[in-house]
Amino acid sequence: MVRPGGTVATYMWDMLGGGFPLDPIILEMHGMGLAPPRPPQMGASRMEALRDLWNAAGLKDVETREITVQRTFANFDDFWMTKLKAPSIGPTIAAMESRDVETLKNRVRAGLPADAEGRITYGASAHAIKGHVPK
Amino acid sequence: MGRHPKPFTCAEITQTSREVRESARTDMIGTETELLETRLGGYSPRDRPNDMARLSQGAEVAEQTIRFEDGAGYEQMMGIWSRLVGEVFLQWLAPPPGLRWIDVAAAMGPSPSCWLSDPPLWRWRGLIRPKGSSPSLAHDPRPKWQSLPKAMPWHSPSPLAASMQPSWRWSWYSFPTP
Repeated sequence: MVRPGGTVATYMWDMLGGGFPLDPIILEMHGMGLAPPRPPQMGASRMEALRDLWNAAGLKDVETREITVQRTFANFDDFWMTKLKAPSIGPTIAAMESRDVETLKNRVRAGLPADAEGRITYGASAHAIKGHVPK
Repeated sequence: MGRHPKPFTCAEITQTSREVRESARTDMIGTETELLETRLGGYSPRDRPNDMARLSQGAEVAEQTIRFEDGAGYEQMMGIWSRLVGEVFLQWLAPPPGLRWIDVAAAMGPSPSCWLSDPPLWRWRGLIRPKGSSPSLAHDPRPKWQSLPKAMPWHSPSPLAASMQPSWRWSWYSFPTP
């Protein structure tokens, strides 16, 4: 419950448009025919879905925007070991045959260009929305 | 189960956040995105539009249980990303100073509190701890509830509540000063 005039806002990773930080790996897992666990109802992260929800709730002055950020990892192994901590893809990869893991790593590595120092930089994007409860 | 690493301290998280800010650009928004990505040479899965359909297909596969049990690992894996977005998000919301904040369903660890309480104009009150949430919260001194209390335990006329759902979104509920 929000007061009259109060703000209701959220952001959600662009789960279906390649904006989720794990997407470089998830895309390759799909490419290998694997189906890693995904959050429920990812379609709710679409900008249109957010806008529909905010409008249906009677919120006014609804504004949306995309927020894209970049993160740099020291090298591919830094990226890989960090992402293996994900409670979604981590257990899936841990259960894979080692040669399949190597195949996956090579596929992901091929899609993540490193700079001259070996650092990996890539972007992730979220959909943000805000609106006000009518006064 | 069995992985209950020591949660990051606020100082460690602040340091990590500072390092990330120094190595990442967080001001990439809207129409500037493409330009800045080009300038930085950063990769994005969006560079591969033909593969995007697979993500949609992924939505149709059976949803499996994802267990969030490693708060420290999650902080390193996702929390840093979330704060990068969150900083831009907060600037965009431009909340007035002097609000009091509550973290709803921040099940994964202490990072949101550090993130929000860093600026002195925001104050932290407590958090919702759903059943099965991160064991790393066990030593968190903030008040915790299993669900949003019907009578909120605050007395300020101008509280603002913040909510984090594990893994992919922040939600905010504001109660402006009358």
